[in-house]
Amino acid sequence: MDRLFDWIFWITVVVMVLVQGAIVVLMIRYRHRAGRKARYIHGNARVEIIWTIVPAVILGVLTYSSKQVWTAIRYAPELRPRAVKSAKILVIGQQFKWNIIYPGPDGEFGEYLVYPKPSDLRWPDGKRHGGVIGPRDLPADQVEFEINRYISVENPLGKVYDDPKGKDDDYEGAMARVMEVPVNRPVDVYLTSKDVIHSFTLPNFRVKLDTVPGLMGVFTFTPTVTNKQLGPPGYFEIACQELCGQGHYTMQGRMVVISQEEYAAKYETHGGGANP
Amino acid sequence: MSGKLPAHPLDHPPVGWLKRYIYSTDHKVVALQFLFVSLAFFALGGLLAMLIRWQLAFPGDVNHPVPILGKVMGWADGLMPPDFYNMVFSMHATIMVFFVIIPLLVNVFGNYLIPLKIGARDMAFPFMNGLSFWMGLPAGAIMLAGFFLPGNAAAAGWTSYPPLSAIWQNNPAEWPIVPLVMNFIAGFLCFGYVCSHCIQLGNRFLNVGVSILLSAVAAAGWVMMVQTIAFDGQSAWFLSLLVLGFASLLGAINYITTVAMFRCPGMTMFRLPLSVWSLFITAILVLLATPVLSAAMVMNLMDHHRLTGFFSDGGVPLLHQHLFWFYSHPAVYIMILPAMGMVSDILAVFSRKPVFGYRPMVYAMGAIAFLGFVVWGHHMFQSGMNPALGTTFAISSMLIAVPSGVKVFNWLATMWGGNIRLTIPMCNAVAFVSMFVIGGLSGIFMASTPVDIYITDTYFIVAHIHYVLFGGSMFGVFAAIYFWYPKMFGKMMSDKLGYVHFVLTFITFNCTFFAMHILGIGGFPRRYADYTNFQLWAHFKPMNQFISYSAFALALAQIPFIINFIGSWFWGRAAPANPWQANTLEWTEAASPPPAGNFIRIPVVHRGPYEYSSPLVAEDWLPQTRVLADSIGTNG
Repeated sequence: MDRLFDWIFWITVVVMVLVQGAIVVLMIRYRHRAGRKARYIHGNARVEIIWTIVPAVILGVLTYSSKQVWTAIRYAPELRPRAVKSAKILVIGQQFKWNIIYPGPDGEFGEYLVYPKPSDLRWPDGKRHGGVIGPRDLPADQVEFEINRYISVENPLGKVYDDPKGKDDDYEGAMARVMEVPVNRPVDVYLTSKDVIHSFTLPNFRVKLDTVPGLMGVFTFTPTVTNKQLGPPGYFEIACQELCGQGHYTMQGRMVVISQEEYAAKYETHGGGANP
Repeated sequence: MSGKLPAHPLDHPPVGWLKRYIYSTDHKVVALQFLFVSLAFFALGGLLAMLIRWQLAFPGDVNHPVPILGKVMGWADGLMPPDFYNMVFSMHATIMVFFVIIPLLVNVFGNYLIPLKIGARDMAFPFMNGLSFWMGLPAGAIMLAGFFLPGNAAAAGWTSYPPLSAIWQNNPAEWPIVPLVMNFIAGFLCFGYVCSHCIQLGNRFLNVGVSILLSAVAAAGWVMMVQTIAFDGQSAWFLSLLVLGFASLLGAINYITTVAMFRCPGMTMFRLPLSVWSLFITAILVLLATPVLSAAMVMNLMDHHRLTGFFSDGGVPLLHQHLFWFYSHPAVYIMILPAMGMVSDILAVFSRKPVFGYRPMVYAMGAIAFLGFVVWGHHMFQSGMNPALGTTFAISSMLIAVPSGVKVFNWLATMWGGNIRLTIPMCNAVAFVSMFVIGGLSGIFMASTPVDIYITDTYFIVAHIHYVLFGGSMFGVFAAIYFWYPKMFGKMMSDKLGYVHFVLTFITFNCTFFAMHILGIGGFPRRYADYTNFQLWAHFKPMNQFISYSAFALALAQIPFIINFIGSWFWGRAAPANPWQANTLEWTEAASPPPAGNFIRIPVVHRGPYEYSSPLVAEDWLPQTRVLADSIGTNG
């Protein structure tokens, strides 16, 4: 991708210098002189064809190489050989923090972001809140308060507890924690959002994707060096790059690349809650 | 207006001062009304930009509180709160796009130039034409009302993506007095325009009395309705663009009909000046794209009132983006095509040469307009839409660079072999070409999907859009204002002030916006009130300060323009009918300024608009209407 950037950069620089140079040369060479008449030319079909075809070919090549790189990046989970086991991480954007969830030993996420509606018979977590089994049993003036409490305090991630895939997920303390990823192993980051659209960005890794409520996006990257080897400051920065409200600019996260063994020990041998 | 229109036999029957200068249906008066209002909005949008730059130069710096505003608003330490910053850049972009550049290019020059250049006495629907201006006023008033509401104006960016834009900024309540009065006045003026043309009771005093009464009642009803629908800044934003959309449609229908039906004898489609072609194609874009935006605005309003859930509350947020960009990408071409057309005219006049490749230029504009409708997805590469669509839109976006390139090469070829007079309009037109090239080339980075992953939502995008819209459109507008000012006001503008304005603007513009490319390549994010907590970007502070100082200088560089614009009106040298020795009808057939009805008699056209330096005549220009003895040379 950086190579593609360099190519486009040099092509555009050359074109820009040529055109700007041409403008200056034309302005000087053909400046007004009394008693001279301009050339009376209406056009020339041959040059029109040349300056249509040549840029079209250059752009065609750029489009083709863009397509190759794009496919390799965005379809990485599908294109990868099955034997390669990627590290999966679920990121849920929320004003103004990132929730980081690991799938545990089974490598699969449970269901999240399920929240009660005033008409529901039962609370989604199967427990009692506000002294009743479902929001429908609450008096009208308490419904909104209890639902908001459920969303913000009781079960902020909207986790569905009886989903078998989610039993071993590492979701406790998901909010605003440091995201840890293994080195030299593809990392699939699954992205969604709890409230508004955010954009999960790792500028150092040239990846970025919007987190959209109701949609699950995914991108892949492979870190090649751990933060320990890199030295200070010992982490990479995560930024939000889609306007998400007043605290948009504070939505900073941290990512640390750790060794594969460390990652496996921390996140892939046992279920959630047990990691230090 | 100069105040003295020369009388001639075809002048309209005498009408009162009000109908001649205020509630006029004359296309030139409507154009000038648009011009003054848009320039006022330009000043407001520019001041908002200064606030943005102040914040980015001194984020959280107690030694540099925001001047004046910091005290007026009573901010702690005079520092701008982040939600206020969000509001400022949202409104800067909204005002510049919808209330400055689109009206300046489409409404001002569409209105002024189309009838004059095609040899028509007025627009096809003069009443509707006036209405498009007077409906624009309430739209502007609703937008400005946002500033006075408790939650402040819209702060979700100029794209207003839901669900963020669905969040209430304040609870529904009665508006404060200032926006109420402002909107009452705007509504009163709008209804007054309709009444002044529709109420004919036979007696003048009766007419005026009934009109005032009716307008006041209607305006009161309008204000009640508006304050209910637009209870916070964001809903005011939606409603304002809905109303503005109607106004644009009225204009667009007018321009299309006028060009199609009101051309004078001999004015075939391929003898139209390129400026008219560009405005014609732009009007088609407006006509086809605006309803989509209006639909999106209605849906957003209903969502905002919690009546529906199209985009939020379980709806599909991406749907808004698709609808919004389906309008707003063609809008990008609405904002550049007229400038391209007018610059083509100006380059030909001052190179004293025919436009190189007239027909390819027309076809290129047609291609840009058509492709403009199928590239909207390139604003959404990282939005989470299906990646397969990314490739589709990358192909169409790369494709649209081809006709844009064709136009640039044709402009260069127009200058080649010319006898170039570097007047002020010509300087601005050449600057347009030069800046448009930079803006166009930086677009290629974005069209390349993998590169876009990194640079989208960074300052690279900000640099690109400003090179296209300020470097492109605004230099085009400046060129056009300097070029047609003598025709509009009958006075020549000062050359000295013009050169000062041009040189200063050109230098400070490039200092401001070229540096933004470098920030963008560093990944510097858009829409951040404060970047100093990121070690990735904190070191860009000196660069931001350089940009800010350049931006302040850019704002100051507009002062000579303001002095020139107002001063020349009062003290300028009287302009001859054709100060530039141009060929087209507005110069050769109409006085400066043209009277009501434009022409003494409808002109007859014998040739294309760009017969400069023709071998058939001794001088280097050959008006479209001139009859040559041997009647050849009708090419072009």
